[in-house]
Amino acid sequence: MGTKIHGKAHDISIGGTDICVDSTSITQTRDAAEGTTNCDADKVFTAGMEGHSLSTGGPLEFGTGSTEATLAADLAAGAASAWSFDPDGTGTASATNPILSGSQIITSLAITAGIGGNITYSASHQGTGVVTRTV
Amino acid sequence: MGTKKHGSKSRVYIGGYDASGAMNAFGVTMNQDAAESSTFDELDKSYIAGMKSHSFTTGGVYLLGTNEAEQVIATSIGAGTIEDISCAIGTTRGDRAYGCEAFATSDSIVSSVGGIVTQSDSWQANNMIVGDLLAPPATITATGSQVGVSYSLGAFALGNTIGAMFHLLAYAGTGNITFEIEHSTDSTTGSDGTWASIGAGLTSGAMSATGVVRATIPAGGVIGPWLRVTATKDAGVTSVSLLCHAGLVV
Repeated sequence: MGTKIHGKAHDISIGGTDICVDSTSITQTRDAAEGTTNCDADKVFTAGMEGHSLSTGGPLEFGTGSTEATLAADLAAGAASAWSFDPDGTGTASATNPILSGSQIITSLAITAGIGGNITYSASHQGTGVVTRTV
Repeated sequence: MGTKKHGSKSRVYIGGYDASGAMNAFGVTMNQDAAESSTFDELDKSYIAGMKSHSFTTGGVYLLGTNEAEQVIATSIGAGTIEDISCAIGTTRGDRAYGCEAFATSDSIVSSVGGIVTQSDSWQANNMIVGDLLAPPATITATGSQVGVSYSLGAFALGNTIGAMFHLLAYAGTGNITFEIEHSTDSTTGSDGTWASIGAGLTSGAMSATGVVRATIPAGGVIGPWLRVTATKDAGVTSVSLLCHAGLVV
């Protein structure tokens, strides 16, 4: 039996700077190429390359070193930067707190302001290269 | 840790006009292509950053009148005219603002028996300027007025482009007034540094009526982190109201 972790504790950093979010999503994928022929009774697939992507979002914070400034500067730089995900936010990797890290490119930063609530954002990050899982 | 902002204090400026009286929502989306660069010798997919494109949305009530959003948008979507638009998260110096040149790509007007007529629009934007309000707006009556000092994204690196939006919201008198963004490398207060022009000058050029100027310039070196806007005017110009923000071109 493993250890459950509440989502409120996690840390996510972009370009080495922690950002404030109300949700983080990390998706790791592997291509599966269909190789089915008329000689097969069932569909068959072969494993391809691994990929990953991230999404972040929540109420947006402004100011020097803020989430908004961090993401805007990363977008302006026009290059990949590091990301890191710490499930329990302690900064200590372990079997019950595997820290994931890799490189990402921000592909979308959407900021929404409405009269009835906080200014919010959602960002999409294309992962590039390997995801390292440190325990 | 930054500061959260409620959306109710936001503002939308179009072509030197405060269109906030018709607006109750805006959205800014900044995109960057990621082109796959994976090769046979890699186990994991790899990507490189590509071109950027930006868009935004505005929404609010259907308000008719000269310079109101309804009129501007109808012209933009009908003739493909490009508008200079700024969306700000507040009206205080240092508040974040997003500015660009854009043309309307969709215009939706909804009228129902149960409520006010509303309007929502989509815009395709170019060269988004992400920076701080220097004049949020501010009234200027004298040459040399330093109407804004603000810390923006930090020092801009060599090779970045910086830009400014000058919305002249009100103008009284005769003659020209010119605004210029200056910078200081002072990182403590921004008020006691040595202020200097940016490159060949990030200026509005001479303005003699309400309207907007959008200006960009290669940084050509380390700029900032402090920015301010100053005014130089003819004697005949008695008073103007300026909305100005400046920062990094994303």
